[in-house]
Amino acid sequence: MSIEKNGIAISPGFSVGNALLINQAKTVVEKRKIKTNEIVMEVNRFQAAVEESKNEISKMKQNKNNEYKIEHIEILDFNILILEDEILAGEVVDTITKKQINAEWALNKVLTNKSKEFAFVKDLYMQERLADFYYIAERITKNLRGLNENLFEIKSNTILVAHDLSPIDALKYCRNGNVNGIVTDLGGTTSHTAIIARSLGIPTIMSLLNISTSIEPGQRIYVDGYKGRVKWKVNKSEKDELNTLQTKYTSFQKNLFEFSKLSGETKDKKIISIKANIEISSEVKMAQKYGAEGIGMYRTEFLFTSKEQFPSLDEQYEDYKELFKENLFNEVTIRTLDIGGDKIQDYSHLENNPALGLRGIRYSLVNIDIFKTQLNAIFKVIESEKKKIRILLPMISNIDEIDKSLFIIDEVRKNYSIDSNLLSVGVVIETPSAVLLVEEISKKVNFISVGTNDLIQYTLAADRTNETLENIISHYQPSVVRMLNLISDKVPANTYISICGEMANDINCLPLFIAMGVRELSMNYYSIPRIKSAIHDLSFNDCVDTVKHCLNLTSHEEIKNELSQLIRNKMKGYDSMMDYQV
Amino acid sequence: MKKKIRISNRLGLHARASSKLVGLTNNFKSDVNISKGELAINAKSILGILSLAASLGVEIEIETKGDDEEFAMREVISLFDSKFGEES
Repeated sequence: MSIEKNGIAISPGFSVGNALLINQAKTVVEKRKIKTNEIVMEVNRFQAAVEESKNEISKMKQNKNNEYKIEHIEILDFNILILEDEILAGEVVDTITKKQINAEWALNKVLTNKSKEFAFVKDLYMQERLADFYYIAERITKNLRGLNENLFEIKSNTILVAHDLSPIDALKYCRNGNVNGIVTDLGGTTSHTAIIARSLGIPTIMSLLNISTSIEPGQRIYVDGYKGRVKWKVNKSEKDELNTLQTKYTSFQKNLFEFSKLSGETKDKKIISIKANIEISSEVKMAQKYGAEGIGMYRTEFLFTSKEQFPSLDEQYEDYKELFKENLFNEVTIRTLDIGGDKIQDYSHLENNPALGLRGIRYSLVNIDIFKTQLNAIFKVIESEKKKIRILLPMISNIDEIDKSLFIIDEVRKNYSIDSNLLSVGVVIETPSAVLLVEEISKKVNFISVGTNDLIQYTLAADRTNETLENIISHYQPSVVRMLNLISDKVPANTYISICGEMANDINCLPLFIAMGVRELSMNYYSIPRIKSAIHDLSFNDCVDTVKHCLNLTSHEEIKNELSQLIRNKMKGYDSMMDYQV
Repeated sequence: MKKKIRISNRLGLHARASSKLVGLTNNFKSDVNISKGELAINAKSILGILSLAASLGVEIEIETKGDDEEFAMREVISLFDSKFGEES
């Protein structure tokens, strides 16, 4: 009998592949079987990682810049002793050899066994010391990964199975295009890993609770990213059924793709520019292929967090230049560093509440050198490529932040000879505070971009990474619709409003944006054909009537019904497959 | 050879004491084991010693087995007697 599990549909599409289990507490643990002739190599790899970990700690000890007290040295020595411990190293080597599994998995197994033994230790002080054992294991795993990088290759048709997957790891694993599905125990629709999965068009399901412990490595699994359903151990007839569904999906996608060539124009000839959000600069190619008319937002976080150190001016310059490669686009939008929240894994800057902490422009204005380096790189690209860049400032919550940012932008700009029409500056409206100040804000900048993901989270005071709040965090919530209405009411006439975030790629929300007089929608590139196919069948008047009605409704279900009814009635090319969308 | 002793230092076999003990036992050719009740551990392993969780007043049995077992026993006992330098 087949086994089925339902979770939250994160990224649409059907796929089938073989499970690659990734255990992630704080570090990633790959699990795979090794061949007899690989044992020696695997043992060597483990010993090298232990050696490397020892070197790292010894280096810390010897670093003259650190004024270590004797207690600190003793702690470091204690950690080295753990690394030299035969119980640890011996058992891991033994497990690799006897079970024929990779070093990460073996270490993980030994760790699990040890923690059972340690559970008998009641002494709190001792327990805390034993915690060092876990940190050490983590360090070894990290070093294994470093040594592993070239050896470890993701095979084609891989489905990643994980407890939780960090955005950085998602990007790392998916970069060679061999991952065609992701299923995780935790996570919700607007987590950054979800955003990445959608941006890469990888069918993904999250909040499956215990999928990572239910599936065996190598298991053949079917992922239905529309329904949020995972199936494995399927029989012949089910297999046929799933294949038919996949065929249907493929033809749906193919038909939809025809719309990518059209412009975003309503039935009554109102033009809405349809652009793409991207996470990595090389995505411009895909964006163009799917019909993006520009880059509405390049999130620069991954450029900043994918390496040990923040990128230099030159590295950023090379990266931003990539956006204009092959002249695919004449204009791109670069959002300045929006670090913080769930995007940074810097344990030295742990905040109690990162979503409300030093992030976005707040971070840039405290770390002015980092901000200036980014601006320098942007201006350098405008100067050398003679292309237009729009700078987008995230997390603005007051006017003072805009004034300070504009002052710094002007100051840095003086060093470059840039045609004034090649630069514009905009603000992300994503805090309720910015919504209330939107009139004044709009007068200070060239455009505004409504960051719906964060605006929803801050309006509803609901953490968007908390999957138990999935029902509250709906962009159909009356308060969210009223927030948007407030923006369009308050902004001066002719303000250029762009919408980014998950709402922009929901066809049901299109009437809201058309009624608001939005000029631009920026979304995951793969959503562009679908949105374009819907815009053509809608008119401003139809939308205004529906939205007026929605503003009087008090439940998110009612609003969703109202909006989706309009779409179903008006859209000629409506396909039931569109209902599966996230 | 075997010998029973009672832990006499205030903090018991805590991190620092365990480190010192492991640093010492690894110099011997002999096996060094310590048992507390049913539980016996390898005294050359920091994790073993920690999992013993021996605190002040607890009785443990030290066992040394090998070429230098007498020397090893003497040195280990003397480290316990010195209270691991804790109170000096």
